[in-house]
Amino acid sequence: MVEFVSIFLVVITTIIVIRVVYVISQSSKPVRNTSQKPLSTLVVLGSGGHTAEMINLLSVMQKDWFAPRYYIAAATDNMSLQKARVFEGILDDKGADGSQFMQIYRSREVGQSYITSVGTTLLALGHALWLMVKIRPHVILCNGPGTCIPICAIAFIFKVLGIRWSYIFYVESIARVKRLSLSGLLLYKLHMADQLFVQWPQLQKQYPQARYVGRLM
Amino acid sequence: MFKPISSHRLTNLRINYSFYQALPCPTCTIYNRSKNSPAHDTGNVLYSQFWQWKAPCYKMGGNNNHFESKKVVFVTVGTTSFDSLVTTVDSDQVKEALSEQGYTHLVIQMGRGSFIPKKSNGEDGSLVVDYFTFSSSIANYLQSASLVISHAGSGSIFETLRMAKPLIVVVNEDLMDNHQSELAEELAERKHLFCARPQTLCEVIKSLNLDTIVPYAPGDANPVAKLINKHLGFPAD
Repeated sequence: MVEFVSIFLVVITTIIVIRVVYVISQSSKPVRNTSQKPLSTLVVLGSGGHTAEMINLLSVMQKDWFAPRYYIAAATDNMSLQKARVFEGILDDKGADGSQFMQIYRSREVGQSYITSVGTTLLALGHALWLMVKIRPHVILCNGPGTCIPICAIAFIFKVLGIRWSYIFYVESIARVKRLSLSGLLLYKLHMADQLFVQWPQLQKQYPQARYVGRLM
Repeated sequence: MFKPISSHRLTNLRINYSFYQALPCPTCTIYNRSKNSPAHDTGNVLYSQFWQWKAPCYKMGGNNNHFESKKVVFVTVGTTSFDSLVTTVDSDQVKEALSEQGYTHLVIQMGRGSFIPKKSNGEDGSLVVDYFTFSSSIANYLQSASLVISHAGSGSIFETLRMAKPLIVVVNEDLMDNHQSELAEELAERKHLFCARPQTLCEVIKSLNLDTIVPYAPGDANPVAKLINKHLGFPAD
């Protein structure tokens, strides 16, 4: 019985490892999208400067290819969703093409104690999972702070489990000149993003797998 | 160096403008204290009405005070607080340095900070000083300014650079993860702005030379969007 369980575990682990390697290797390859159907897009908004950069990017993207669009911002950040609403020209929570605006709990506020942050982190993860199950986006666009990490991690697990294959694009904030942010570094090291852009050439030299094609601002 | 407009330039300007009275006047600033605005001492008012937008105006008829009148310095700390900047800006040395550079008005957006600057109506010939906490239309204040002194947030920096206003960025050294100085220092190296710390701000103002500024060319998001499209198999154009 013990032998059977251990063999079973080894097999499962091997399958998962192979699947993870497969997912990572496939993620960096371009997609053959023959149907050209619109892709549901999740936009993770940061605060102030991050949001401005994201809006600049969205404003040059084809709205009909990336639809519907779901905007997520931290629950403590009212400005970002407001800016997204202005950008979309939508005043309430739902747009005509199904675009939506949502808030997500943050795992840790600035200055919060570490003991209570265990609870809030679990809450934030649960909330992110719930939103991701509901949305199951094809495309995830993010450019910044911690809010996008649980989202991207869940998206990656969905990919491994075969629930939903989503394409993750990360644009490092223009404020990062010499080093990647913690979010950027995690996505880079764990190969979770399909493409990771940086906005300064000297940063690209340090992280050769990142791409530099100019600044957003 | 910024100096008060010299008299012969003034004359030229006056001659030109006397023919084009309908055009907005570029040297006239747009802020005028409203007599009806509510008292503003608590520092808790979200949308300050202390300063109100007023259309540029013409005062002709041999009165050339008008042209030398207003050069506004706008100080912004963004959505948080940055008391060490507000304290520094409100100090006599900095105010004197700004006066010497020809600035006449100082408007401070102080955010959530607890340090309240001293208001002054400039009767003794010093800077006119006023402040507010937050405003929904920072852009109007930036537009009216001849010099912007800002915290190092990328939002404020690029909004100011886009308006091609001279900018001094003051890095907040109290922040734990101080990556913000990276951006300010990089842009200062490229001569798009001046970078300072609260303790060096006065020196930076004294040695301010606006002729060295290289205008900032805005970035372009199209290459990133194209690569995303290409990756997803959408036509690249």
